[in-house]
Amino acid sequence: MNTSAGIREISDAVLSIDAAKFLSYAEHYLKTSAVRMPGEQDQEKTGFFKKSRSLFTHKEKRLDVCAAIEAEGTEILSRSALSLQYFSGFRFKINGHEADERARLYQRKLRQQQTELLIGISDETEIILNMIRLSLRMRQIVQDHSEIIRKNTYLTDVIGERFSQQSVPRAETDDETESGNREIVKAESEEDEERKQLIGTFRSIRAYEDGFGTRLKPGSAAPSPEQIFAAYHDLVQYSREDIAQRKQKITSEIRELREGWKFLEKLAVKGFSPRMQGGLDLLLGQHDYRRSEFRKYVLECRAEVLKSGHKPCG
Amino acid sequence: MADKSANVDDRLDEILNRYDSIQKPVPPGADGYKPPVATYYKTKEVRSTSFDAEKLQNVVSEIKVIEDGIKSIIASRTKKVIEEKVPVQKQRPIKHNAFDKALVSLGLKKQKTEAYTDYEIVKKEIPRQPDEVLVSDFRGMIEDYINSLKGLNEGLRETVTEVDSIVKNLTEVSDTFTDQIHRDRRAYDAQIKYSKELETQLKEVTPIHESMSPIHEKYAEVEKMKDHIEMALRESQGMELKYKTNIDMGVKYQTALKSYRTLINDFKERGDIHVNMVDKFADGASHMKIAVDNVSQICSGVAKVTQSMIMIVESIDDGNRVLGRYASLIGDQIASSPRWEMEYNALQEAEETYKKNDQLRLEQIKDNRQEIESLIDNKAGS
Repeated sequence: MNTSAGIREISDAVLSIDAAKFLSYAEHYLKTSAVRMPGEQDQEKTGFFKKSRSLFTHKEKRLDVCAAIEAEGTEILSRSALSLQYFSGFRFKINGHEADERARLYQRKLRQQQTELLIGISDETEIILNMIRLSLRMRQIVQDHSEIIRKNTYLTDVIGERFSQQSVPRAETDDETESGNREIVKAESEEDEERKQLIGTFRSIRAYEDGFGTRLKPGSAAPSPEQIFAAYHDLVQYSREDIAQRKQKITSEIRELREGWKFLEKLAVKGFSPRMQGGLDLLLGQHDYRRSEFRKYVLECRAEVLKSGHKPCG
Repeated sequence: MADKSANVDDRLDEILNRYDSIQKPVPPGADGYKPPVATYYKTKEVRSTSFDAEKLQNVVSEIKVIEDGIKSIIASRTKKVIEEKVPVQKQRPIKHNAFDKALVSLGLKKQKTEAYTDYEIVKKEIPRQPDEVLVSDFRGMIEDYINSLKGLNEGLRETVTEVDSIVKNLTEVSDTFTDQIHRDRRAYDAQIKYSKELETQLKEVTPIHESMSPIHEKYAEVEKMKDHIEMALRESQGMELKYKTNIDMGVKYQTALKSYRTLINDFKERGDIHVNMVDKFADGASHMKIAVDNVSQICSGVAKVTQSMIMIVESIDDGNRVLGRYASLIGDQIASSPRWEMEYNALQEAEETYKKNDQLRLEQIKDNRQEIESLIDNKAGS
């Protein structure tokens, strides 16, 4: 393998990793997901058809954004996979400086740093993609249901309103009809059966209303659509916060990846110079810190799962 | 009124008594005419009839009150549509004479227009008065009400079914989440196990690598192996975290789904309650409709019965008049005078009329009874 061509290939692969678009799309998606829903609720009240059309366009737009996120995410994943492959198959040979122990040591360390950063970037990207996919799935579920829920709320409220209009005069009509019926029954006792039926129905209506009265009044005790979608909003909020943290991670990882690559390239092409040492040590120190944090976190997670009572199986 | 009728009764009794005490002469020129034996006059039932009639009157007025109540409800809940002729000012082209027409068609003269008054028929809804409506309108009103309520209810019933399918769908989705979480947990466990193996291997390799001299022939190989294990471990730990996040997210989504499902289920139950209530309500309203029908039928039945009562009373009056005149004629003992002849003829005529009326009356009463009976039969049958 030609050394310089190999370096150029790696260089192209490593430096082309860019998460800016991916992260901004992801953030945009979650931001609109969180904000859109209450806005839609307000629109619903104004017009049935206008709103459903606008919902549709929002939905389309959102699907576009999701497709873009998928594409960008996949791009990052494949570029870092390619870089990883290059790194694993490539043995650095420093032009005429092979004996330089420091150069060799830094090279090894930088290679490890690059590899670990690439794995880290892929992991974060995958996790974000998963979150977006989950959020989209949940969103679609909620979206599919919202129309029916809206229709149901509307009809329940209309009927509930009718009941509440009815219930005060109805109580009077009841009594009137009962007493009126009694008079009639005196005249024609054959009416007895009907009278019983009528009184029976009114009684059962009243019993039913006594039992479920609070739930028959429009809007009372009923979960509002906002409440219904609250769980979804919490999720979106959680995802946003989580992704904001991961965004910072990916951004600094990519920055350090590039810095590390530049050092590695210099080492490979020009060999070690004492002027590099300060920057190198700082960069590798940052990476060591990241590594130890990562390990700590891995152990924490294991402990957490053990503590939560989950028995490891097999 | 009771006094008055009592007086009439007394007078009637007196007359009858007087009539009975007189020996019956053989009426000349008549083929054995006998005044009708009106035994029922003597049984004093006439006195109590007025009492019963009054009771009946109470029922009638009670029904009237109900009727009026229903009518005012109908009037307040319905609107009358009337057509009104409204004058409208309009413009139309003026009719020119032949010469001017030619000028206009040549475009030399402008077509003039004139204003005229046209009438347009406008439909207007106005409130109804209670006396304009019939009790039977109530039936239509209740029917309309039930129909609109039933229509709404059908819509609601459909959406409730749909909401129910949502609940079922959510259960399925929640189940897939549960499955996913279990799968991720198993995978996480396996991954941890694998990581731990790699960690052990690394622990074995690291001291060897560190103690090795770089010029050792196997140094490069050991270093490569160590690098590989480290990378594999890093990858494996990365996988661990991915599973861990998946589990965490899965649990969060499942919790959200569960609370969402509970709320949707609440929605469904609320819809069910409404649907059932409307069903009960519609039942009540249709029973109400039957009751109202009965009220109007009974109202007319009572009116007929009252009519019969009036006829009976009138007939009694007629009979009294005939008998009274008989009695007075006989009392005056003018049977042989030419005036008797005259009076007798008049009496016979009156008697004929009475008989005819009597017949009519009986038929009328029979009819009424049949009508009432059939009314009752229908009620009992329905």
